Amino acid sequence: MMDKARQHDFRADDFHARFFQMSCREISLLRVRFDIDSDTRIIESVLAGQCDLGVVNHYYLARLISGDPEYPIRFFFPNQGEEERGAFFNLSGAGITSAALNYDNSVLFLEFLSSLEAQNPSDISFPTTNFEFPVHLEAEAESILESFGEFELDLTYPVSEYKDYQLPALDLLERVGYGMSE
Amino acid sequence: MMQSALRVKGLVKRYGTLTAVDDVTFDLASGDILALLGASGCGKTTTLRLIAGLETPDDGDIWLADRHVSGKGDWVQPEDRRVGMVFQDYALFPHLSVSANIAFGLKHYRGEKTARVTEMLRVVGLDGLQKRMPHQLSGGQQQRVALARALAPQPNILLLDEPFSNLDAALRAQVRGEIRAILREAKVTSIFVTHDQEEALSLADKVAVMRDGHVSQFGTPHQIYTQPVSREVAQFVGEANFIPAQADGMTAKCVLGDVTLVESAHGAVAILVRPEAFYISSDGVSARVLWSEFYGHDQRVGVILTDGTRLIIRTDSYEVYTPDSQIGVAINRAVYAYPA
Amino acid sequence: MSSISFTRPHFSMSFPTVPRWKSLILPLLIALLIVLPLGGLVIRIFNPTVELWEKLWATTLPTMLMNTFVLMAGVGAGTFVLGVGFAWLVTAYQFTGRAWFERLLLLPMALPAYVMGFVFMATFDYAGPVYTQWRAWFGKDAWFPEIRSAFGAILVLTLVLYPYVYLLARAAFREQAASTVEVARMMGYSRTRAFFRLILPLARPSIVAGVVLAMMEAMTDYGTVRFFGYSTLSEGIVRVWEFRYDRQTATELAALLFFVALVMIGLERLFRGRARYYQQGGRGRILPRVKLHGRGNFLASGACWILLSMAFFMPVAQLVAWGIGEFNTPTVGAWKAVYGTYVGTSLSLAGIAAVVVILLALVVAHGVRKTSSTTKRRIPRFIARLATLGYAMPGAVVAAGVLLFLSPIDHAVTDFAETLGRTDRSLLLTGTIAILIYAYVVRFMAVGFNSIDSSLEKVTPNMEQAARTLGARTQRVLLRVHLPLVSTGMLAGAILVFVDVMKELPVTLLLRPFGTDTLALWTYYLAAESFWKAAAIPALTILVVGLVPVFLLMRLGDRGNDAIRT
Repeated sequence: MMDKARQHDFRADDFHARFFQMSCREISLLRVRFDIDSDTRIIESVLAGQCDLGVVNHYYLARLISGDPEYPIRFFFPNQGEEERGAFFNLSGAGITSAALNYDNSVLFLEFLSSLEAQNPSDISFPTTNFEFPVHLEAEAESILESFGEFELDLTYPVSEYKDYQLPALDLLERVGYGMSE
Repeated sequence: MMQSALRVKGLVKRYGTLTAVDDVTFDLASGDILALLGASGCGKTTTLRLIAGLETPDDGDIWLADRHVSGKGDWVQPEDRRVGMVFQDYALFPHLSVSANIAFGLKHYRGEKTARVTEMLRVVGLDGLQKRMPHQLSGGQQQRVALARALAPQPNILLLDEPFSNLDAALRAQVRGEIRAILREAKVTSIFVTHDQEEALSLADKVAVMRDGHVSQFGTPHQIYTQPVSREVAQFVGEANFIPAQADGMTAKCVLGDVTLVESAHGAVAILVRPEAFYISSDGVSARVLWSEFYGHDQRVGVILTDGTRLIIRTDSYEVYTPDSQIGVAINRAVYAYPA
Repeated sequence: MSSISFTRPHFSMSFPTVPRWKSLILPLLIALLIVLPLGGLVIRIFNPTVELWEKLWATTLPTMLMNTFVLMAGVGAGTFVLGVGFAWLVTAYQFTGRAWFERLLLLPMALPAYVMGFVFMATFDYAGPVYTQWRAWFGKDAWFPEIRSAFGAILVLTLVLYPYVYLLARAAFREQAASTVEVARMMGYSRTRAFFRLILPLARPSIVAGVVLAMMEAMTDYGTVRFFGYSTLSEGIVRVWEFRYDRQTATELAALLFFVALVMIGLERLFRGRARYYQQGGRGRILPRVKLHGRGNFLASGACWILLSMAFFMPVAQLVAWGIGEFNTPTVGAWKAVYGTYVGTSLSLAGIAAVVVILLALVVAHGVRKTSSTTKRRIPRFIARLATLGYAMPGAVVAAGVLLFLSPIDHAVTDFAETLGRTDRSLLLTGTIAILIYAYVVRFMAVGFNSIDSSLEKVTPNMEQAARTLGARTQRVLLRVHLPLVSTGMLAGAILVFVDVMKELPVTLLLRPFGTDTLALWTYYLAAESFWKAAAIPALTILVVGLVPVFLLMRLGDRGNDAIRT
């Protein structure tokens, strides 16, 4: 079941999307719902048995696990095979608007956010409060994040080019009805 | 001493193509009560509002207490005319108490305001109700408060727009008498508008009968009733029997025999005989009773003469006149003759 | 009970016939300011970007249109049945608890639709407690209604919106039921027949107004449909705006929705019949109620209980439980820190909006009345209708229109400020709460205006003239006669606007300046992330504020003075 899912290449491609949707229904080993709006709810629905598979951002599960270490859902990172491209990832970023009044202080703040101090696990850091992976290469690992195991990232496309693919991606989602109830 | 409290001359008011008030002229002496009497749409309310200054006339003059308030380049605002007005729906200020309502016009009053309010309440017979709110009063009480409010600032003239139409019929007669007493005690010149001829005749010192914007007749109630200037006025102010007759000087010949005329006339006429001007006697002309209405103090009897003329008679209540019985009818006084 | 006979003012016989047109200048300006943003959208209708519409039509537009239509139809039908049914039940029958239910059935008005939406979703979806228990009892494959569907959205919105129909239908029934039923009985009609053939048709203007109001609210709803994944036009506009950053498509969709709203308004006028303004002055005879016994009594009370439980008690109980649960979790400090800020923002926005709306409404209402006192009433009334158009418009439409209208002006103003030496480069209008307040004015002017207008109607022309004959000049008439009578209307209007702004979601979502968040937004964000417990806190805060006008309405209903503008 999981192997079949691994075989598909999630390219922004109409044909593949339709194929995926059709084959899921036909096989009916995977029950798919497109309409659950919140990631946390997706996870809860998988737990309840409404679906077998959910596509979520990782930190939602991390939050649930931090509240309940026995939480019985775990991840499957896609595209992890030998020649495969790796799991898709996003970045949380920050920027300074052109109307900003305190440019210099803003730059200092951005530098702080990307420093080790903010990226190492501590009471105020990203990994601990939000369970997002740190970008600083030397940052230490956070325990829950570490428990997810090793995985490869999809580095095919530079993050700076994501914006070019956003609209086609949204188009694709809309075309298959992802995010809407039937 | 002023000549007159109110003088109106040649008053005209048009709304588009409709002439609501058409050349109205009359004088009103100080202390008199005038009734503007007429059917709906005759212009009586418009005339009242022109006097108040709530409408602007298209032509004519108005003098209030010898002051030229309207016409020929003069125009005095209603707030400066010192007219008091009582509206048909009383128009009390719902958020003010009775005493606050009455005191509303006393801003420039020289004198003790509270005393004046108390005095007004006494005059209208509502002592002690200072603190009440309008919605807590009955219709009759609201009317009196409206009256007190209008009288408090000592207006030159008091205007009342159909003051009794909102009251129960049973109350009307009683309230009429009370209002007249109040107006007399306050010694205020008043004009009230009504379509009810009984009201006009019983309350007023002078009556102006209006029709289509004109004043058909202006006189005392007695004059209006006994000497109506036209058939329309006659029929409006009371019940009227018109009998065809041939006049020849001071007498006329009609189906009831020879009648004396008040004024000489000639030729074919119609004589006006009020129901109470008949008397029933065996000497009279034969008539068959059609119906009778018993009022306790008197009765009305409808009869038909041998030639088909129908008459309405008012007589005392001692005899009972059953339908189809025969009675004799005669006229016992001089009558007016009108063109046939 | 006052016995003043209510004489219909004769407008041709009031103030001197010279129309005081200059009283209309300010109202006209205000009406234009309100209508121009919407008008800008109208131009879009006639100037569509063809490729965009082709693409929309090929993808989501048919679904959105269908969903919008289904939702409106469903909510219309549902609120009709519930609103009319219960209004009649409460007016014509006597059963246990009737007097209480009569008032309590208004309670759901205090809950915003999106709060009801997430409570229902959290409770009834697959992973929720009810369905989970159901599966425990009846097995994993036992059928259970799917809440994330048209059915769910219609159900939730019907429960939130039926009070509008209920309120108006109840007022209509009270007014005419007594004499109508008696006449019908003498003609041999049974009560039921009298209801369907006489009373219901007679109450048509009010009922139509209520149902259309409910349908429009359903059309404009954002939060619920988003939670349920039910894509309507309103939801689509926000989605395109927020996720695609595609203002242009969003605006064109908004133009379409605006058009739909206009059609709805037109249909309402058509179906409403002749009655334009509905007021219940004082009740004549109360309809003698049929006492229900035994099973009938049980069913009647039971029905009321069930409806109230589903529409109010259950959701509120759930919210309170979540809220208490939240207090006991370690993250409670996190929201405590920001709660004050959000409350402060909500209160200040609502307060500013209320004041601005009431002042502007006062100007418009006064100007309209001044110029209505002559034979020509059409023009002033038309201006009034222009100014109150925004209420019928979905929030997304108002937001789109206002931004469209204000952007070029804003750039001009900001550039001008820069030439005057201002160094801050943020936008003066669209970047601050100014645009929010403007949008609230457009959206809620009707609320303030109707309130003030109906209290101004208490000042009859005769009253004004009486004051003048008593020597008062215009100023004194305004101060001593108009103002005191209007002040109750102003207060009521201010409260209603205040609460509406506090509950408002889509406009605030789309137009808020950077960093401005309200309780409503916060509730929405938390609920969208399934943080039910945390969301319960701001939701309950909004509920408490929302109860204020509901209690006012209940008291008004008791006094029998349901002066309701339709």
